[in-house]
Amino acid sequence: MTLQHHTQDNIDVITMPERILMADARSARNTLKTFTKRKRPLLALDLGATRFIDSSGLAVLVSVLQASRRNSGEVCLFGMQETVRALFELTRLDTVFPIEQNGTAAIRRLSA
Amino acid sequence: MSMPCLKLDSRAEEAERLLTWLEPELRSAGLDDMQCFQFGCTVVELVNNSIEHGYEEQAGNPIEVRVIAADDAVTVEVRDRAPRFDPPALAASAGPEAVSGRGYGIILAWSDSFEAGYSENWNHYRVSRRL
Repeated sequence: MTLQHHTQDNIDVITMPERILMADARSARNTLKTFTKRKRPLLALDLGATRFIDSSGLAVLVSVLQASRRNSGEVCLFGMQETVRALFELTRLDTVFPIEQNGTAAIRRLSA
Repeated sequence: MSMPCLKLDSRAEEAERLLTWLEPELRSAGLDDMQCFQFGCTVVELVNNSIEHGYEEQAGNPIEVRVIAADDAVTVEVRDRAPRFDPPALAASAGPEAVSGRGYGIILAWSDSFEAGYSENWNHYRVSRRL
């Protein structure tokens, strides 16, 4: 899986795809985990274009969060659509991830 | 009563085709954006379960998905020919920080009814959502 990526203020800002499904899970996990190898990795994941995530996609995000935190880093999600937000609330992942409205807020939060 | 049917192969990649087919079917049955997303999640999780646990990720096996639209509800039936599977009554209580184990909870939470059965060598799972 190829993900759009840029760096801002030492934070990796990554644009997630329209759908994050079981078929993409291994590839997505491997791609995202390359960003968690460095010391104190900070990832801002843009979910603005993401219209659908299944439970395998959620598992990818959780494993990336855990990998980041093991290296004293953090993952912040932003731009989430209302539907995807409902899935995070149902699974209580909204209590696990920092979630912001937009990229500016996510970068501010990760920079703090 | 219409009953469109989609035949899938037991490969994870088929979820893309499922969603492309399912979303307009659910909308034409009367679900709004949020209902469509939520009910779509339950159907994708059912199909994922068939592929991952039923067929143990072996491609080349059939999965059928039917949408049954009625005046007051939409029902989706998923059928597979994997070994008989009797789902547990309750979803496993994975904590929010667990990596996996959310699929069955999503199915139960976002459908108004869930039934599973086995007949003539087919597992069949039915989820319904009131309009």
